[in-house]
Amino acid sequence: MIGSLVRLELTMLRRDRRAWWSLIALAVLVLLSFAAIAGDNARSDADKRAVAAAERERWVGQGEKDPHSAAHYSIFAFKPSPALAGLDPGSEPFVGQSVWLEAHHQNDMLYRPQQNASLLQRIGFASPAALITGFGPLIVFLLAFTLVAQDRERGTMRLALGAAVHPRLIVGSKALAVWSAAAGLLVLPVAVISLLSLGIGGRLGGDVLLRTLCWALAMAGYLALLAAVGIAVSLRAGNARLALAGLFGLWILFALALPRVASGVVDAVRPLPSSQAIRQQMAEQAPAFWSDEQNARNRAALLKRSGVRRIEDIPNLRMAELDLMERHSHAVFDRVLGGFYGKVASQDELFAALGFLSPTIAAQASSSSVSGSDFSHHRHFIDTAERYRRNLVNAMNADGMAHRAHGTERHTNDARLWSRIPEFAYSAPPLGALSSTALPAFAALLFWLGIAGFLLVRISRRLRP
Amino acid sequence: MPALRLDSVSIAFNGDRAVADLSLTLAPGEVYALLGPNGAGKTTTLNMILGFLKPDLGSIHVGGIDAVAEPLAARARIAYLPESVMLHPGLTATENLSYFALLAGRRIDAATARRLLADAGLQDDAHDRRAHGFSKGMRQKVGVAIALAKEARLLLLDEPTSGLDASAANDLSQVIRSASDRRIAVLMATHDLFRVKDVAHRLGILHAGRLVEERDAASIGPVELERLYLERLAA
Repeated sequence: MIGSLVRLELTMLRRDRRAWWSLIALAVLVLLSFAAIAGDNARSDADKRAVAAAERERWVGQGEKDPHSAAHYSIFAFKPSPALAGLDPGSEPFVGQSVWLEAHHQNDMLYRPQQNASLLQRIGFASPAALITGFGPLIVFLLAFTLVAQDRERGTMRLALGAAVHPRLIVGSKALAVWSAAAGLLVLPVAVISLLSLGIGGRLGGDVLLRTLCWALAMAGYLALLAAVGIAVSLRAGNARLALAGLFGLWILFALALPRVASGVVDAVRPLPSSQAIRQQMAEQAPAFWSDEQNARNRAALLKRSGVRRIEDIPNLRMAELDLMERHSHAVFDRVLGGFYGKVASQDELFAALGFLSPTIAAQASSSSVSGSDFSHHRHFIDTAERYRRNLVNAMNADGMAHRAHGTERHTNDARLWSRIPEFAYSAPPLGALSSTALPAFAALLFWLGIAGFLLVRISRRLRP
Repeated sequence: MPALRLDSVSIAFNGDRAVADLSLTLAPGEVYALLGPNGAGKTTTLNMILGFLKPDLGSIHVGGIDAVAEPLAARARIAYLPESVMLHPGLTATENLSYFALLAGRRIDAATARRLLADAGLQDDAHDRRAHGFSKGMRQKVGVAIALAKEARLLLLDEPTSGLDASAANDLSQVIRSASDRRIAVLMATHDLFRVKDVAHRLGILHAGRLVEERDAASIGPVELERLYLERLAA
């Protein structure tokens, strides 16, 4: 029964060309933006793989040298695009894609895709998720207005209410029609195409499948709550003009105003230090050159660690000092950069929690989180690359410390050591491993779904012609 | 059991009396014409029976169901034809009929839809045309088909002949007689004195919310009815 009603409501929507073509236009934009981003990512990933292979050859073929020099010679690590970046690139365009892994430094990541943004991205049609969360409400409200407010204005609602065994049948079928049209054209095709392209590219695993399903559910849930709100407002408004004004106002509030307000609140409540301040702290706490007093303390610590009384009895003093400096810097990086990254993460968590203010915020936060393109996933790469760097440098220093060399003597090694260092490989964490942002965002989406459903039920009970 | 019973029903809007102490009973198959000028309270009465308005006083029972306490259950037994039937312009006549029948809990196939539309007097070539170009008479006929599709035991008609040409009004009279023959009670609110004389069994004149006269239709001729109507309104 309800299926047949929804089918007829969809027929009405299709034949009212204004609303339907607006939906089709947005659906085409969603697919175009996906194609643009997925294409860019595929090319970029292929480039990264090629350069990473060349980097490995350069590392292994660097010739005979002092292992600490090899640690400085080092290697680039490349971040593969998240599998679902075509659906929601999140912070990807604004964070670097590769990092130079060298001794003593946890370097900033380089190359931001935004530098090479396509025309589509530059004019704001950034991604499927951005289009759905930003323009989805406008289109869904237009569909709801077409099915409900115009019905009431025309007088069709009076006939429907006279005929219906229960008003919720009218309201439910209209809400389902709006939702199925929006989700069926805006979410389903791009999710299926994304899965197909990932399958063709050999990246379709269980986690990717689950993430795509969660993304589609989050977006479909978002559109469902918008459909319910759109129908409820259209039913509640005194006339069609008021309904249109109310819905347009809600779109501005949900999708444009509140996300900006939330961003401002987050910056005010949890401000980030400047990158200059972070660099300054690291330079002060992990300097490139130690003072004489610190050198003396370091040597005392080395004597204790080596269990000898004289500096000359340490097999390779230079390497031991470099190793000490390196390990000291690790603690500094963990404290300074870790604290900074923690603040960025807490900003994301607060922004997601502000999803209780606007469903658009909740949808944006949940989308980038399940797509693996939010900051928590980026940090996972940074941490993985940093662990690799530390292991590499520690291995180089350990080799040096294991071989006696005094004064200007240098222990050297060659490809036999270099090739023992495994190639850098990165796998994104499974869904659920990084849920600090996703949980409040999904909770907010569910909250909004509940509110919208409650509104719809309440209004359908009080429905009058 | 009467198809419809109103006992001392009253309603006022912002202190202005719209319907006062209205009582009437319809037996199955009976056609009752509620006559009165604009603002007499005819449509308000229908709205109370449909549950769109709640009376301040009195009770309404539809087929034994308390329409004030259980408006949805009562409405399930009522087929309603508003004064101006507004259809979904993007749907064809058969699609409109299917849609409103589904809302009424009835799934009808294409053949049944065509038969109902034909019974209501809609010409065959209009069945699959979109309703946006339909005249008022054509919309009214689809509305009649929608009401018939519900297979309700009480048919409420609000100014059913208003704006219809003579042929369409005659078709509607046939439908009302046919419904009556099938023991469907019909309450029609109208000010079309001459048309109701053809189809109604009983007539009631509503003036300023009060039922001021009630007669058997057979007991009064058209000229006398007009005189009585004008007298009652002038009183």
